[in-house]
Amino acid sequence: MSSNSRIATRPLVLAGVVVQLAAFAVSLELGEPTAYAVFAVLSAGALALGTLPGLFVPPLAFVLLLALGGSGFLYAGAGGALLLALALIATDRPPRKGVVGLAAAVAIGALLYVSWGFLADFGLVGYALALVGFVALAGALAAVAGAGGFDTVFALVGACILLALGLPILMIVGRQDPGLVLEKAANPEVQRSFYLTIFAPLLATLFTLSLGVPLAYLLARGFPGRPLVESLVDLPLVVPHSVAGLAVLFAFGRNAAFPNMDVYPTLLGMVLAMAFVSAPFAVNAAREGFEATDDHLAWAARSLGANRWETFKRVEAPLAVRGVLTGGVLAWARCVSEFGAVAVVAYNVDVFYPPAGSDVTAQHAPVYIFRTFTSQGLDDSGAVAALLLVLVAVIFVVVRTVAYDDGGWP
Amino acid sequence: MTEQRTRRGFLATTGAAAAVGLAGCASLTGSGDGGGGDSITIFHAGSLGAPWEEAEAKFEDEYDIEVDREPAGSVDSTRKVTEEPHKAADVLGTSDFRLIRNMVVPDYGKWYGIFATNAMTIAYTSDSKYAEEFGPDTWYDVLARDDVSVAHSDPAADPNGYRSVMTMKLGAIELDGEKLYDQSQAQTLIDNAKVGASAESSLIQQLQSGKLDYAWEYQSAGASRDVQTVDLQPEVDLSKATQKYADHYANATVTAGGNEYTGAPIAYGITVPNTGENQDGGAKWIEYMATDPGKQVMKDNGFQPVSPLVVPKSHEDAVPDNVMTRATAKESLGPLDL
Repeated sequence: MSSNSRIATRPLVLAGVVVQLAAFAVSLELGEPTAYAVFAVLSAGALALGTLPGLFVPPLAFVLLLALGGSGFLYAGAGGALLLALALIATDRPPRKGVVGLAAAVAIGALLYVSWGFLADFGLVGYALALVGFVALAGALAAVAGAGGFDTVFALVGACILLALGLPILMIVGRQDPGLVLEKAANPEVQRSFYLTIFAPLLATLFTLSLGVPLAYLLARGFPGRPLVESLVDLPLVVPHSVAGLAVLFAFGRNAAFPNMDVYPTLLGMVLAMAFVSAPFAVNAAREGFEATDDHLAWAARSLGANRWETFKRVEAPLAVRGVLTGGVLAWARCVSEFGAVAVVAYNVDVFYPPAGSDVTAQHAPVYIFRTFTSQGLDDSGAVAALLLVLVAVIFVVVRTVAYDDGGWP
Repeated sequence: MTEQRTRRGFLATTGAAAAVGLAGCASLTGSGDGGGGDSITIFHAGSLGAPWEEAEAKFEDEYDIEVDREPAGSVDSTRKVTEEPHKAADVLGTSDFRLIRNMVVPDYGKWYGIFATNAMTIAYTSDSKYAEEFGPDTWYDVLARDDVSVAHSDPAADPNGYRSVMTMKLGAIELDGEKLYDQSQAQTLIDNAKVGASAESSLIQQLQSGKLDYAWEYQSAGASRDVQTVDLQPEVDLSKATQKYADHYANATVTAGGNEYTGAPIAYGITVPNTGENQDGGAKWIEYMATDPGKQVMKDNGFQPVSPLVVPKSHEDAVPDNVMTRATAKESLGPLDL
């Protein structure tokens, strides 16, 4: 079932992405990002109601929102009315019910129109209350119209968190001057920084995975004192990042362990700092991968004469590979984003750069972006940040597509 | 069964406590003004951290105004005000008054004052390599050695960074027909020094970890932190605000991050940016720093207070009255155009 439906849905997913990006671009151009925010949530509700409303109603909704323009009251009112209209389109109940629903929609739209303005005076709490009311009413209406209240509510709530995550990122990328972004992309300093930003986290990830997988396996199989060790693995998560950097310096400093290890300011130090902050992600995800494998398979392999090494290599590891891979991706991403620890241990590092054929001095992208901000200002640093976001997004999509069996797609 | 109930009870209690705590915050979007009382926010150079931390407690006692400080590199601190989203600061203190003169005035502040001077130095510990032979006459020899680990902050992000490079260059520039070393020695020194952090205050930690032998710092760092410093020659340490030395310092220029910086005496600037939410409170802080207790704190921490506070004549009208009573308006400070 999944392979057939995947073929059918992939163009839809792509179309959805294109529509969302286009809507964002248009609303940004018109100076109405709020309209996009409401639109994005509405589209999720529409998609939850089925292919037909999901495809055709969002563009109409968008035009309507833009036509209303400007006010949160209107967005809320229009949103409520539109969701009900969607529910009616999606239902196959008799039209009489639709008429009742339409009347309810108008009433609810008016209610939201008034209450939003009232609640917005309470700032965040007001918006949160308005949102809860909005989602609850939309779900109730969809249920009344017989079009899946559960799906609608979950899709709306899910879309809200997506929006909270996605909108800031879209805004960073969206507000950049394309000319400046291209100029930065052509800047060798930026290219070297990005090379280091991909390469050093990769080394750190390989390091944490190669040492972390055995630990993850042991944790998954259990041993006395396991909760203690698990807590220890999680501990770096709460260590402030600047402190993490110092910890690495002091751990390998004078009168400490391995005092001759050249960590400051070198690629080695950078990788160690990254490993320190990212290891919990790698170990935990890999552990979950091993926990999800069925012990009986390992027992079967043992009973058929395989020793522990063979069992691990041919049964347990292949089954857990997805968890390990997820851990690797998470750890890599964590390393890419690390600023504090890297800035303390390895503000500037020398790294072999293949295009130059020699060692060059480069900075980790978060450090480079900070430095660009202090020396050249927000526009320049924003352009580099936008480039980094796009680059990493592309890498994520490629990794998901190539590395996971099902392509990582729906 | 009991165990499960206990666990559920624990979770419920924790959740309820969290909810009550959240509700107690009244608003997640409040601007953290510390519970209703009067408060000011200060952005300042990392090097001002030690004296201003000391001054903070005394100021809070005297004026009943809560002080929130945000130390960072001077350039970074300035840009937090001048770049979007124009963060609210009631006081901005930088290790180079020209940052305020050039970037803040007139759009984000109407005036500024010069309240302290400082000197360049090199910090080290007794564990640093060659510490026993390190001194005023040997520093340029020791710092040029391959096996010595020496760093300064990022010239693109921090005045201490470009000033370190200026100091190294000035040693090879003649004053009264004499110089400390030749051009190639200056280049060796510059090449041997690493860029270790965005602000010089972080270098102290690296120094104390033992991974760094010598760090370029301000004289004030030696007074307020547990490190040793060396007294550098006045012709290189950027401390003398006289015409002769200023002309000499101006011979050293450093290009970093697309900007060119010209050598000058180290003069700290202070202002009340107009992004502030409590600008009167900010002016009170500046007034306090110009009074005897404020000046004493600066002195205790290795700075030379400028007394009375110097403000530029051209912006005299914009200076708050309480600050102006402790300030003098000048066209220039020694050699420095205001």
